[in-house]
Amino acid sequence: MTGPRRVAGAVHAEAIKLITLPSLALTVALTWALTALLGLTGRPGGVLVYTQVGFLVLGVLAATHEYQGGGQIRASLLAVPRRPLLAVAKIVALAGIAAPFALVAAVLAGRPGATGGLLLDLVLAAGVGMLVKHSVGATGLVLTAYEIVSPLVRTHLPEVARLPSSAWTAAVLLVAIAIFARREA
Amino acid sequence: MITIDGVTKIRGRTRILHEVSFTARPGRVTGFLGPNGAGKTSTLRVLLGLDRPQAGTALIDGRRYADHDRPLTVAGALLDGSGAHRSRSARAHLRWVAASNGLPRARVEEVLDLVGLSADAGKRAGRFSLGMGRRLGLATALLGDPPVLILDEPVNGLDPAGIRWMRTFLRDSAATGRTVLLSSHLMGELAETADDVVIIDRGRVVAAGTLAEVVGEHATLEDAFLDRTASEGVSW
Repeated sequence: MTGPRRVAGAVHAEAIKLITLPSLALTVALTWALTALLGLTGRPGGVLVYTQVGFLVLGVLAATHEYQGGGQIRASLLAVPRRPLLAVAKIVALAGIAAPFALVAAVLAGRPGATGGLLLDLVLAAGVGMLVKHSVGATGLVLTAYEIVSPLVRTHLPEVARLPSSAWTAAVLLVAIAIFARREA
Repeated sequence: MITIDGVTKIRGRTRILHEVSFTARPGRVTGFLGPNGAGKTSTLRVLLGLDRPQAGTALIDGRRYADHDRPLTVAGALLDGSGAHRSRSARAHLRWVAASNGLPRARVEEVLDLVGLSADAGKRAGRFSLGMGRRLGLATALLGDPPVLILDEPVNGLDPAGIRWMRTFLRDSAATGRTVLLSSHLMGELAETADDVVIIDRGRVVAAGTLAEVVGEHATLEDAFLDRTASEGVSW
């Protein structure tokens, strides 16, 4: 199998993993429902912050399910032993599959322009999940960063807060891929 | 053909493998025997690229496992657990594994049939018994119809019928030219199945050869094993 076919196979496999995992579909459904319901209440400041939490959880679960019961991570590494390829395939498949779901969620939140931002949050959370491996720990870390650290930084260090969110996402992904590639599974 | 040459693995400050060398040849079942904690699983993990050794090489058909373009068509591995996420169906699990190496979807149904899981293919892997999980793991290993099979304690958790089925399957695999390497701590099982035997103890290979050579003057493989592994004495 030549290079492009190997990449396509790895991405295809990751896509099948994502669409056949019930907990991910459930997370998307709950995020949509919550966004729509809160939208009806007409909250001042909008509901996007809650939608964002849903996509952070989705990103964490997409990455950490590899490490839950059954030892799937070993099957993954046996199927695609080139770890940087495996890590990149995970991110590409996740962003690609989640894009239409993020668009619907952003529309439900009344902010269709926020689709790209939700996808950046999603893949950043997946990077953290890849690093931390445990669903609960990674979720706690991501939510703490977004809901507590980030507002503090915005208040006290506005020049740091001006970094685009794509820069944060890229930084987390680079670290996650580098560590994933070196770690013994 | 599996060629392991001088593999040394250190974890923390413990040397868990010490210059491990042996080969497993096509058309033969090679039994990899050792007490618990001797380094069997560690050796297989290095062979499959899951762990990195500090020294030495572990090659399958002349290349490292990870360097093969479609590794599942070169070697199939059965390790502890089924490898399937508990909330995914057996069929969905095999589908993603097949896709990863560009294997046809029809192959999924073939291997399900081969291991006798067709009727349960829609069930979540988390609901499988231990024996069904082993069958799913074996189905995964066979997806790429590989000429090399690497199995870690394959009969663990199997009932007597399952053990006989596995033994027959491994013998037939070797008879059709496959290289079969299986680890076990069950001497009786290995004596029934293996052509060649490698004994490992505390990270070192202490005996290797045909079954007859390794048994040598001893009455049974078990006697040979205990003679070579207990010399410095774990006493019961």
